[in-house]
Amino acid sequence: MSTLRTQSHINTHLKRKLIVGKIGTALVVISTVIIILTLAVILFDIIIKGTPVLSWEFLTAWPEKGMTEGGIMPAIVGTVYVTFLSAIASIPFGIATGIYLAEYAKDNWFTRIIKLTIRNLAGIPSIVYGLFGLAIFVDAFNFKASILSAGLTLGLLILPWIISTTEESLKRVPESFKEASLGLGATKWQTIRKILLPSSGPGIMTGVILGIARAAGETAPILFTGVAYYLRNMPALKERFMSLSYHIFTLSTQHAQIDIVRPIAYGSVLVLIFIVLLLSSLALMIRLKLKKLEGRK
Amino acid sequence: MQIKLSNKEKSTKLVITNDKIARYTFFTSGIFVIAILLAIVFFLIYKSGPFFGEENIWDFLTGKNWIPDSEIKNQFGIIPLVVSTFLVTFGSMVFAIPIGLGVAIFLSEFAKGKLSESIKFFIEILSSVPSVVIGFIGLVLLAPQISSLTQPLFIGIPLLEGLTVISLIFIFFILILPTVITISTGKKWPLLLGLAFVFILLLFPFLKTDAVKSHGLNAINGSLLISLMALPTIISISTDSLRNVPKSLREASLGLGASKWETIVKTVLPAAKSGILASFMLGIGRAIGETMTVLMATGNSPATPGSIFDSLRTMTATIAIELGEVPFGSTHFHALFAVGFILFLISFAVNMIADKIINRSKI
Repeated sequence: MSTLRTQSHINTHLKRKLIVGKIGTALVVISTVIIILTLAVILFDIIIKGTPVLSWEFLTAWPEKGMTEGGIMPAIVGTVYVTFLSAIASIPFGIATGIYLAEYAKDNWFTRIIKLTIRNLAGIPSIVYGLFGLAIFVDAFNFKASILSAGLTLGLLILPWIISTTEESLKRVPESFKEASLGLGATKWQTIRKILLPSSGPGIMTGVILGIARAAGETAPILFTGVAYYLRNMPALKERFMSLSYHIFTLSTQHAQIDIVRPIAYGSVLVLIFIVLLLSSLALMIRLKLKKLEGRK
Repeated sequence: MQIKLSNKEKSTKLVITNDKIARYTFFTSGIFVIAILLAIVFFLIYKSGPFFGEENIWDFLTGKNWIPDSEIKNQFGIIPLVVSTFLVTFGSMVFAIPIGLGVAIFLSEFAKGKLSESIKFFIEILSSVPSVVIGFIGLVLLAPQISSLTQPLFIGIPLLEGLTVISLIFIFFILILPTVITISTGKKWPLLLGLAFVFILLLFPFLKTDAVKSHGLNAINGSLLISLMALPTIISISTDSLRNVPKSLREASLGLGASKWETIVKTVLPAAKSGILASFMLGIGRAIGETMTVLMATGNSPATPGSIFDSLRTMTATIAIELGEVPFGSTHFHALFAVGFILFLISFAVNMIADKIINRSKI
C-alpha cells in the first residue's frame, strides 16, 4: 500500500518535471521565432514597398521638385564617399593598434588601460562622437562641416571595432607558426608581415567590412559634421554632402509632404539596407568559410 | 678608419632598423587610442564649460524643465531628458532580457549545426540594420499598430482602469522570467517579487493611458524598437558565456537524474551568471546611446513622461534635434555639450560595471 503511494508520488513528480521542461523549451523556441519573424516582417515590408520605386532613373537622377520626384543619386554617392573616407582613416590605425595589442603589448597596467579604453570607446554613444567631431574636426581643425569631418568622425566610431577584430584574428594564428618563423631568424616585424598578417587576413577583413557596413548606415555622427538636406552639386572633400541615412530621416520626419515622399523614403531605405546587408553578409560569408577551414585542421 | 659593411651586413642592419620602426609605430598607435578618449573627455568639458559659467550646475542637474527657447527665461533642466532616457531603456530591457535570454538558451542548448549557424546569421543581420531604418519602421509600421492597440480595456475598475492591450503585454514580459524561475526551481520569491513590482507600477499611471487613441509615437514604441537593437548584443554575449560552461557540469547534473530543463535552469544559468549579467549591462549601454531610432519613434516631446504611452525626448534625441538649429557658441549650444557630457559619463559608468562583472567571472 505504502509503496504504491510512493510510486504515484514519484509519477506525479516526474510528470511535473516533464511538463515544466516542455513549457520551458517552448518559451525558448518561441523567443527565437519572435525575433526571426520580426526581422522577416521588417525586411519583407521594406522590399515589398521599396521595390516598385526602384528604377535606373531613381538610382541615377537628382532629386526634383522639393524631393517629391526624381532620384537619390547624390545621396548614394555621398554615402559611398563618406564611408570610403572613414575606412581610409580608420583601417591603418585600427590594424596597427590591433597588431600592437596582439604581438607587442606585455601584460601590464599600460596594456590593461589601452584595452579598457578601447572597450569604453566602443560603448560611447554615436551622438557623442558627433559632438566630438563637431568640436575637433569642424571647429578646432577648421575642416568646416564637410565630408572630410564626417568621414573622420565615422572613422573614429568604427576604430575600436577594427582594433578588436584585428587583435582577435592575430591571436587565433597558431603559436607554432610564429615560433617557426622566429626560429628561422626572422625579426618580429618580418614574422608579422610575412606570416601573421597573411594567415589572419580574412579574419581582419571580416571585421573591417562589418565596421564599414556600420559606418555606411550611421546618421547621428554626421548630423553636425557635414551632412546636408539638399545640394545641387557633387560632394567635394571640403564641402557638405548628402547621405542616404540622413535622406531617410528627413524624408520621413522633416519633410512638409510626408505622405507624398513616403515611396521615395521606402526606396531610399531599400537601397541603404541593400548596401549595408551586402557588406555584412559578405563579411559573414568570409567568417563562415574561415570557421570551416579552422574546423578541418 | 671606418669598417666597410658587406652587403649582407647592410641588409641585416636594415632589417633590424625596420623592426625597430615597426615596434615604435605600433606602440604610437596604441598611445593614440588613449589620446582619443582623453580628447573626447577634454572637448566635452571644454565645450560645456561656458554653459556652467552662465548657468547654475545644480539647476541643470535638478531642473524639471527643458525650455531652451523660452521668451521669458530659458530653462535648462536635464531631468526630463534623463527620465526619458531611463524610461525607454527600462522599457526596452523588459522585452529584450527575456527574449534575449530565451534565444541564447536555444542557441547554446538546443540548436545544433546548420540551424544554429543560420539563426546566428539572422541575428548578425539584425545587428547591422542601421538605426535610422529601425526608426523608419517604428514610424510607418509600429506606430499605427500601437495607436490602434491603445484602447483602454478595463473601464470603471479602479486599479486596472486605463490599461490597454500593450500594457498587458508589458506586464506579461515583466513577469515571464520570475514565473519561469519559480516554476522550474520551486522557489516562490521570484514570482512574488515580480508581482509586487507590477503592483507598484499599477499604483502610478505608468502603465495606463488617458488618451482613447494616440498617434503611437511614444515610449512604448521606442522601447520595442530599442529592444530589437539591444537584442543582438545580449544574445551573442550570453550565448558565448552559456557555451563556455564546462560540459562536465551539465553531465554531472544530468547524471544525477535532473531533466535537461532542470540542468539549464539550476546548473548552466547560474554558472554563466556573470556573462549573462554583463550582456544585460552592455544591452543597457546600447539602449542609452541609441539616437536616431528614439528621435524618430518617440514623438519628440521635451516634457517629463509619466507613462509608457507618453511622447518623450531622450538625451541623445535632444542633442540630435537641437544642435543643428542653435547658433554656434550660444548658451544653448554649450548646454547641449553639457548634456553630451552627462550622457558620456552614464555610458562610461555602464561600461565599467559590465567590465567589472566580466572580470569577476574570470577569477
